[in-house]
Amino acid sequence: MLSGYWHFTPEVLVVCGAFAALFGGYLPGKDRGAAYAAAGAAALAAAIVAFGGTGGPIVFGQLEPDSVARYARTGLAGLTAVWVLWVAGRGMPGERRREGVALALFATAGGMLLSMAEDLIVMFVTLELATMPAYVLMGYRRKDVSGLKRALDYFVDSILASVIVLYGLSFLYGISGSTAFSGLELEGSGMLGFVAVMLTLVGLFAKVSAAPLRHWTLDANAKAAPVSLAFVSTVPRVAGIVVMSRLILAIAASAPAIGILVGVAAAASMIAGNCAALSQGDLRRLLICSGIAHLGYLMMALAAGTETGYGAAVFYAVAYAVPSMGVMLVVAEEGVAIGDFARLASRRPWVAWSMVLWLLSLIGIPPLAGFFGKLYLIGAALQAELMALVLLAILATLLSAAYYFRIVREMFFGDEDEQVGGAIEPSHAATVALALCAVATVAIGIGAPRLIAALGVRFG
Amino acid sequence: MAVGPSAFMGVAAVLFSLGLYGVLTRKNAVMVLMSLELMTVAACLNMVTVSRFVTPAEMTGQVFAVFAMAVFAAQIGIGLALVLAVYRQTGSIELSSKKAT
Amino acid sequence: MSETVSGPVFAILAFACIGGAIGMLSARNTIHAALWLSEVMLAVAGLYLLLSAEYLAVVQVLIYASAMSVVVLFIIMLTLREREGPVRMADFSIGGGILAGLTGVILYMALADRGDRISAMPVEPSGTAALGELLFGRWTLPLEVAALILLVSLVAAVWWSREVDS
Repeated sequence: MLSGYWHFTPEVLVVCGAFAALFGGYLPGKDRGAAYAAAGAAALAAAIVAFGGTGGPIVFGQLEPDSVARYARTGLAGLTAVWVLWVAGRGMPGERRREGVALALFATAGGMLLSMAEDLIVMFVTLELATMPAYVLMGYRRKDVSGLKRALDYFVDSILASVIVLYGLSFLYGISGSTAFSGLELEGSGMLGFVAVMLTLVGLFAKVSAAPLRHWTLDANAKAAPVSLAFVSTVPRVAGIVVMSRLILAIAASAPAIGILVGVAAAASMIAGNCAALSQGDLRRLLICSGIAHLGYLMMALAAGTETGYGAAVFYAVAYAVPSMGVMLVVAEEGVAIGDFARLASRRPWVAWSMVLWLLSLIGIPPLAGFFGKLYLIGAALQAELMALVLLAILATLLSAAYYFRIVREMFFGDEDEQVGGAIEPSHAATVALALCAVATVAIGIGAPRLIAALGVRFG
Repeated sequence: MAVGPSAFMGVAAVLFSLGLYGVLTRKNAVMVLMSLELMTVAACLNMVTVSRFVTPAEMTGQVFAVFAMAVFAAQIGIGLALVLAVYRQTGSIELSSKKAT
Repeated sequence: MSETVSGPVFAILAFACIGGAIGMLSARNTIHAALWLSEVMLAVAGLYLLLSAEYLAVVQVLIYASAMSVVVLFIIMLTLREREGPVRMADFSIGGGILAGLTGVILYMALADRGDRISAMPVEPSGTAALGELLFGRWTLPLEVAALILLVSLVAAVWWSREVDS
């Protein structure tokens, strides 16, 4: 049974990085050194996962480090490395870095385990580890009273979602008599099976902030520090999406009605997210709303309930998170109002062009990551003949171009007089972090056909 | 009179709904946390019931309940620390999100 | 020969659970609510005993009925500025009531639909020792993750409870 434990090397490394950060006071360079050590650990973990092998089920079948998990874990560790590197350069606003970095790494370790989970118990426990540090990061600035209050609201909502998931899982386990994903069997469970699936999905949707419960996270998050938001709206969310996809795939075989539930939630997310994003002047709000819309596209593929849809959804989760992290980090540097971006192109041309790259990827312009992601999502939905959802997704994408291009216009043709923010001091670490995000956006796009084949997506 | 699993699960369902009602209607953060505890206990009771009636030998439900208890004890701990931190600066333990309802 | 749960004992404990929960929600004072919650926890521990989950019953009493209640009481006392009327009366929001009621009705229907397919209890299962072996054998991985969760909550609690000089 001890074979296969080497699969945990990256997670152990990430946890070690977290401990190094916690005891950062003893490291050379103190606070900043702690962040660099943590970033190094996360980057190394990403490399080990990326070049390490895959395998069959390990630990009594509770985890499965397959190729999908490898892709998700690489993405999670990589995103964390970028975020921590940026924090090493610019710091957490108003507080020291160590605890924040350590908590982020704990969340990453949880998320990496979560994306391998093949068992309800393991899924529940790792889901909590992946999402718990999020609300600490949301209320990280202790002098910011309103921030703490919002963290409390976010905390209550998040726990409520957890309890609902837990209750749903207890029914799923009760019906199938097993907690392994492979043993989930809802055939002939009638109303109780429906309730179990409803509770679990409603809770999970709230955890990854999809419609119909998205207003919770919107209100609680929309005024948080952009640095915290850059982490919270990417890493734990990607992990949650991966496991949600796995669970939906596992249930879909014996409960076909799940496709309708997910499809309705997908449509609601696309409509609500895009409509809310259109009128936002605050970039944090805009990005959160558009994040809901992106989740809607993703769930469109999950509604298909096929292996292809599952692979496409996991691919898109990371392909969306990378540019989104980049944009959010620039927001953390420049300011949260759209006017803060006026004439960014003349002040910091490279950052402005990177922003353009990320925004184009979010809209879905070839050959960037977002384009291929959306292509596969639509392909998976078409295979399952979900024509209405596909049409809605295409319309929603066109609509999203409107608000993304507003930012681009402001950066290149904005009114310079509005701009009052002074020059931002250069930081090599932060520049490298942003550059990595930009490179990754292009690289995922170029490597998409090969990545998607490894994820088990087959068309035709 | 034989008491079957659905009797236990019924008690759990009532506790869960009462807890949900408390979470949705109360403004006091401590009351909300206590209602969340009520919901957690309901979920655990559900799992232990299933464990006893469906998988008595594997005891999977009991194991699940042990983890759920540990996790939620930790969560409630964080929550109370947060309540205290908010209280120290504002003198209030009311949830701001419920002002409107 | 299958066992059965004693009907009257179950009825008393179920009544104590639900009555305690209602008492908690209708209490005017948070301290009374906390005491009602402890009572619910004790009654649920009794239900665990009926379900022959001795270890969980003990843990329930130790953690939820004692430790958590003490912590909750501490917080209530630390945050009380005046002892009179610290809590509002339950605020009967219609939306919340409807949602909670709906959940209850749906759950009831689901349970009734499922029915008592298994009403006879299986024979006495393995006890606490077997549970310990399971926890540290088959389920070691979630156990380790739970340890990390406790560490995270410790870091978070320390972070928020340290005095900030502002």
